[in-house]
Amino acid sequence: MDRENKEINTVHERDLENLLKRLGVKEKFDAGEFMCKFCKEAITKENLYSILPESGGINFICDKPVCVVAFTEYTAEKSKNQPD
Amino acid sequence: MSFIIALYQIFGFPIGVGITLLVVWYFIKNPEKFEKWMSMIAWAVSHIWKNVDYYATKAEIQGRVNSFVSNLEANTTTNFPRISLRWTARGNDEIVWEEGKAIIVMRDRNHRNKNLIHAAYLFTAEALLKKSAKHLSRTQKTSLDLFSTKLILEKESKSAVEQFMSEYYVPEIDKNEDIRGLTQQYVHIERLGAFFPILIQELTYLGSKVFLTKPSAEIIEEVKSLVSFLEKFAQREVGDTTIQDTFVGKYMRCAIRIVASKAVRERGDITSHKERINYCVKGKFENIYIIGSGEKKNIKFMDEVAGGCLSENEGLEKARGHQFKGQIKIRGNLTNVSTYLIHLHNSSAVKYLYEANDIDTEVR
Repeated sequence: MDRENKEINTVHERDLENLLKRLGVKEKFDAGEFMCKFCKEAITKENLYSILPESGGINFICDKPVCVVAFTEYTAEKSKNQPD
Repeated sequence: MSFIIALYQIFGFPIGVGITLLVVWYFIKNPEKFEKWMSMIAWAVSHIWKNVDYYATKAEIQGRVNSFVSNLEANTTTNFPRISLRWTARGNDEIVWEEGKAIIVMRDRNHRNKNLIHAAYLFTAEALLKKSAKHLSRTQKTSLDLFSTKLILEKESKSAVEQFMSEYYVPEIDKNEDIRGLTQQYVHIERLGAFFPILIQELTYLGSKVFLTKPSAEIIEEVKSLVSFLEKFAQREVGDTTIQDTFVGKYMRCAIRIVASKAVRERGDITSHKERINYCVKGKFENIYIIGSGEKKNIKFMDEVAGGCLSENEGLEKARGHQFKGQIKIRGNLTNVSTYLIHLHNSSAVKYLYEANDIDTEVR
C-alpha cells in the first residue's frame, strides 16, 4: 500500500498579520470582533490556535486546551465520512 | 609516533570516506532522524538568524512525529501516514486556503512544546488513527487520540508530555468518567505491549470494512468488548489458563495464542501449538497473535510454530514478528520481560462489504 503524507497547514505567529490582511479580516480581528468557535472568548493574536475556513466563512479557535480538544473532536467527526 | 602518522596517512582518507558514506546511508534510510538532527542545528543557528526557526520548527515536529510513526510501522502491519508541515502566508507566498482544512498557528522558540503538542495531537486525530476510528464513538475516539498522543510525546519529548498531561489529558479525564475508564484499560493493554500491535491493528482492520446497513451502536459495543478482552488478557497471571484468549465478535474476531511453555519447547514438539492455531484459521479468525517470551530459544520455537502453520494454510500470511519489552503478572507482581509477538493474518477470512444478513450468517 502506498504511504501518504498528512499535510498540516501552519502559519508562523510572525506571519499572522500578513495572513489576516490578505484574508481581509485584519481590521475586524484587531477590533476584537472574532470569538472562539467553542468557548466564545474574544480571539487575539496571543491566544489564537487555529483558523478554520468553513461554509464560505472563517472560524477562529483559541488555544485553551479544552478548545483544542473540542476542535480536534469536531474536525475528526467531520472527516470520518470522507474518503481516506 | 611516526608509525601512527604513517598509518593515518595511508588509511585516514579511506576511513573518513567510509564513515561519511555510512552516515549518509543511515540518514537516507532514516530521513526522520536526519530531520531531528538538522532541527537541533537549525535551532542553534536561529539565535543568530531568526528566520531559520521556520525550518527548525518544521524539521523538529516532522522528525519527532515521523520517528514515532516509523517505529510503529515496525510493530504493526499498517502503513501509517507521515506528518508534513506546510507554511502559509510567509512573505508573498500563496495562501493555502481549503474549505474545512485548518491553519494551525505556530509560536516562536519559547513555545516549542506547545507547537509539538498541537501538531502531534491534530495529526493523531486526523491522520494516524483515522482509519481505526471510523466506527468509534466520540468518547472512544477522543480517548484513543489522547492516549496515542501521550505515547508519541512520551517517546519523543519528555518535557512536552508533562505539559500535555497536565493541560490536556488530565482535565479531560477529570471531566469525563468514560475517558478515565478507557484510559485505565489502555494503560493495562499497553503494559503488555499490545496497544498499537493488537488493539489499534484490530481497529484498523475494522475501519477498512464497510457496513452497508450502518450498525454503528453495535460496533461501538463490540469495540468496548474488544478493549475489555485485551485488558483482561493483559492482566492475566502467568500460567492462568482460565482467561479467554479468543475474541469472537460480530465484526471482529481475533485470537491470542501463548507459546511459552519451557517443557513443550524443550521437547521441540510444535504439534499442539500448531493445532490450536490451525483451529483458529479454520474458525475464520482474521488475525492470530502468537505471543511468548523474547528469549532467543523461544523466538526460534515460535517461528517454527508459525512456519508450520503457514505451510499448512494457504490463506495465512505472517504479517509481522517483533520483539519488545512488556510487563506480565507473576504472583501478583508486574515483571518486565522481553516479549516476542508474531501476527498471522488470515486473509481468506477477511470480507470488506457486509450486509445485515452477512453479519449473522458468516461472521458469528
